[in-house]
Amino acid sequence: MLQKSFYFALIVSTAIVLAVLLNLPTPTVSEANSQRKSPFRDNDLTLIKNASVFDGMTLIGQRDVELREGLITSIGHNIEAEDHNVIDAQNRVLIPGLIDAHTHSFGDALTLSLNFGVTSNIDMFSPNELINDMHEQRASLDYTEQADLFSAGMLATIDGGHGTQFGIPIQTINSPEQAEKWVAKRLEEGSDFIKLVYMPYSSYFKSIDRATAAAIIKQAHNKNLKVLAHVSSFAAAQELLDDGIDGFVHIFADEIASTEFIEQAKQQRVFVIPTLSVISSAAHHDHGRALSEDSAVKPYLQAGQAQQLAANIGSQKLPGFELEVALKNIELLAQAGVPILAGSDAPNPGTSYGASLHQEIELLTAAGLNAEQALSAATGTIAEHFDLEGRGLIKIGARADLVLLEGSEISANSSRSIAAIFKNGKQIARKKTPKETSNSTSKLLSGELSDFENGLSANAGNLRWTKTDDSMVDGLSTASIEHQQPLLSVQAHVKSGFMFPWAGASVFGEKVWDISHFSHLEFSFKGDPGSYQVMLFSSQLTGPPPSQNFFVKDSEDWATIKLDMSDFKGFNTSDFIGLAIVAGPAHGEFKYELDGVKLTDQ
Amino acid sequence: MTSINSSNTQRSTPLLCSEVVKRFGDKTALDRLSLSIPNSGVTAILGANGAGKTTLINCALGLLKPNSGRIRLFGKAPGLAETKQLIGVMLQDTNLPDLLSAREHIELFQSYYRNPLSISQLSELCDLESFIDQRYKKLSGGQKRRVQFALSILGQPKIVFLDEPTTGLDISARKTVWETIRRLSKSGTAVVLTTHYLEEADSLADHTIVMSNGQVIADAPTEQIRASAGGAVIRCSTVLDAQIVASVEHVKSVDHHGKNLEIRSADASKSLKKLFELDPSLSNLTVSKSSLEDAFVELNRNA
Amino acid sequence: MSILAKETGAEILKAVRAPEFILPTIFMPSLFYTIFGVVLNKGGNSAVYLLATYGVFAVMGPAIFGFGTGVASERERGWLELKRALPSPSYSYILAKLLTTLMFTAIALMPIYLIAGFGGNVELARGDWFSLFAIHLCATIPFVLIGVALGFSLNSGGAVALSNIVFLSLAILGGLWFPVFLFPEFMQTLANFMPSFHLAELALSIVDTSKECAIGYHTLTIFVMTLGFLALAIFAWLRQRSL
Repeated sequence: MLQKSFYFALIVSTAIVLAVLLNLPTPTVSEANSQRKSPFRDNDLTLIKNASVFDGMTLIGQRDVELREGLITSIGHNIEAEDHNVIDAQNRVLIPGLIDAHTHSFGDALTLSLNFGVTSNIDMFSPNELINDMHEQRASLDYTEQADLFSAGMLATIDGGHGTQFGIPIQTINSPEQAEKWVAKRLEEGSDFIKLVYMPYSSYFKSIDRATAAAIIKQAHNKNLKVLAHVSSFAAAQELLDDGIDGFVHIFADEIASTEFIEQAKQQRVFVIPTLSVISSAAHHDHGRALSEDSAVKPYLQAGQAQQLAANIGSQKLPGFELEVALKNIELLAQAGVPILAGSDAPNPGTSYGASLHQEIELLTAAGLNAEQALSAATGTIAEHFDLEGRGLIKIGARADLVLLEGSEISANSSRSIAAIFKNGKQIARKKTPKETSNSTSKLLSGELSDFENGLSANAGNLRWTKTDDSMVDGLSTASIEHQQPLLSVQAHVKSGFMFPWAGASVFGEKVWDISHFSHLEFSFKGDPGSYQVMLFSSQLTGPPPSQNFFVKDSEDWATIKLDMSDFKGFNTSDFIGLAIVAGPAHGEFKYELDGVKLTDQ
Repeated sequence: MTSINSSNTQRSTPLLCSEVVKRFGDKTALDRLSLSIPNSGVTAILGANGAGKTTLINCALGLLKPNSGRIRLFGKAPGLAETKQLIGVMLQDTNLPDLLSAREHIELFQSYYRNPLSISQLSELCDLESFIDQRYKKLSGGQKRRVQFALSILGQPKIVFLDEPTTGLDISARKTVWETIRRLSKSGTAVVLTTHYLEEADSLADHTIVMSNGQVIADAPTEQIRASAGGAVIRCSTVLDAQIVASVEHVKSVDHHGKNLEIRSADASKSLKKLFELDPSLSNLTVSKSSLEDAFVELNRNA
Repeated sequence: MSILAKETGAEILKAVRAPEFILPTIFMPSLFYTIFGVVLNKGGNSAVYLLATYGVFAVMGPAIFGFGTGVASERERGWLELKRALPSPSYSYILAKLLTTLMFTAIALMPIYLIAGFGGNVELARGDWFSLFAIHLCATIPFVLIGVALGFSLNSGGAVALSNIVFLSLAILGGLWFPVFLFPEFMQTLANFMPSFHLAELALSIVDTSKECAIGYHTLTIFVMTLGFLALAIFAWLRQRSL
């Protein structure tokens, strides 16, 4: 009796608890990942009728294509529709999901990429944890709103070499003896291939030496890993070619490649990812801005993407990056039959995830590839040179990552006219540009940001001067400011720790201001010799802020600095929240003084 | 009577105390107490309130730890699970949980013992049938005692401690309990009962231990203790002075009892003969066999 | 096992046969929650906040009163003394009471959850509902230990009085009725000494992910406090045995 009471009570209470806990309301679908369903369909069977099929290499003509449970299960004529979701693709081109062969994928990279039909990203080193999950994620055929990822993981560089300036912990490699262990570690971490940085002729960066590079290539080949190289000069490329490199992740833009080089590259079946988009940005060609205004692209750009595209690398055109040289080199290599692969190098300034691959395809046609070759460079050719597990091609058994394009022909920029995107056989809803948050921004009436006659408050717009440094983004730089009537004295210590280190003074308020009626920023400056920059901040900022550099040679005299607002590339002048006048990106300790900071209209 | 050393004897002795001292603060409740309980029959521990009876029982049960001395039940230390299996207990002033029935209490207790009696056996032994499914709260005092008594013998113990088993019961309820104790005793279980009802010990006990101030002042078969108080009590009305009466042969004590004298005598007929010689007018004469109460008074007078 | 099952069965019967005690402990917290979390909810997320805190409040009642006054009265009736003379393991009584308390607290939590979910529109991931339940259920343990310490130290009148004081202090000062951040500063400091506060914070860390919560600090503190209550309970238990 007692025992029965106990078991009865135990069963009843457990049952009550389970019944309640299992029926309590849970959040309805949110932006959380995994368990979601495609908004378009509930069964996993689709038939795309009468599409002009580009199979990753060439247009093969009109076909019906059946997608079942994430895979392409049938390609043919007049396939009978049964329980299929039927999509009429008359006058449309079906291409494999695009692949960006050069990205640094972190943050929202995979979601943004897929939004532009890029169903796989190849990552050339990034500071992220996406790599930990990528093998599992890309093996899945479930519904997802993210592109798949393949990655080099850690890159091979030396202490103080390119890659170390970002403030991300890097396992550097400094001698050939370390190569075996270093490569083994990459294999263990799940790297899909090896990327090394070889810049022996750079004046900015140190580089691993040639022996180390050769050792890495040898060790990686022993373990069946391809080795790709970041080089920025023809000479460096030639050396690695001699040492057996598998591919280059940028085209060098300093010199025209020699015919011997081209012949040798062809013989050794080396491929090249030119990343013309980023070279264009370094050369200040403003291709990114044009892309951001393209009517096929603009409606789908997410917050910050337009600004990213409108920006350029560096405040001035970088030496050693001639877009014409790059285009010529690609033309020569392509003519000789060296495989060219499309990669954007997003998210460098001037590029953005997904969108910039369409830019790259167009730039490849500018280098002489025809539209089919350029499209293949972003699909089938990549699949041929990377083991992408059934991606990049339309064939039976391939993964059903597909993009349906408007129009029955393909052209240099037809890839951006996207009718539908399929990831793992399931259609994805493209995200439109979010509506501007309707903060009615008011005009900043006075441009007097401060003459420092009255402390740290700005004369205009309820703004206030404070110190600023990259510690807010986990950098290590430090700054302090002191109001010394009638000027502002700043002490800045710029240290390595963040990608774009800075330290100095800034002026911020709590509101968003419209400053589009001002044409220039002007201030008086006296300080230690070095490099300084002005950064403008907007509420929609996602990447590095638009900035201009200025250099100081003489510490004795006051100088008047006057900067044209239109030179802050990518800055939305009706979305101003503050600006900073800081030391950096060069490291060191700087002391400087500011006075009479103002926005002017002349 | 305490120095029994053979371990065989120890093992068969239900309760053996030697030199047990228990103090509460500066009050000594048990003062170098030594005793042994015979292995069958009913043993009554008799004493006034505060004599140390309950303390002794609590020590034997392991509820209290003596300051010094040694207690063994069948050769085992008190308080061990093994020891507890051998004993049954009915404590003074214990209330069982009100909201369970006798049947449920019995069922719970059955799980504690290796060889418990069945509900029907217990119900018959202790006559629980009529109220076995009623909640404890609803039972009369006598019924409650019967339930407690049933629980104390449920494990088929070899020794049962009954601390004041009939306190607060009316005569008829008391008689029922006595009857049950007698039956239990006949089945071979040693019964130890504490009581301050002399009548109870008188009618039940085969053996009596009298305690006073934490010590044993008598420990013998009940018959013997009764006898030690003298063969009989003579009550009479006489002109004789009490002192003269006391000097009469075989007279052990004389008390005034109203107008009468109460005379304890080891040999009533001889004493009476002499008394009639001294006072032929002696009247209102009654002669009764001495009771345990007489012995008790006698013992405490000497203590 | 059979002893424990039967002992627990007996405890359960005792509890359900005293509905005047068991019903208020089950329904009072849900009633309070309905009033303050749902009916008087002026926007805001008090339905969510109070779900976490009233859950702790709901388990406190059965734990503190069941043990505090329950143990004290049974001890006073001589029942515990008798049990010590019986060959049942001494922990089975406490364990049986604990199991019973856990079952009743589990059931007492359910109306609150239901009201939160369907009346207060609180939505949690399935796993979070289970985690919340686990935390609320585990919260029983420190309060049970407090109850044990009270029950073994005081007579039943004293236990009722002190249990009430302890119960109300833990509820109010621990921020179970009103959020701690509304308190004056010294009371916020005081809250840190209340086990109820730390348990509520842990529960909040599940329902309100936007909230900064030093989970490590609260877990460690409640763990140390529980050890302290355990020591106190053992001390009280040993002390009453030697009387």
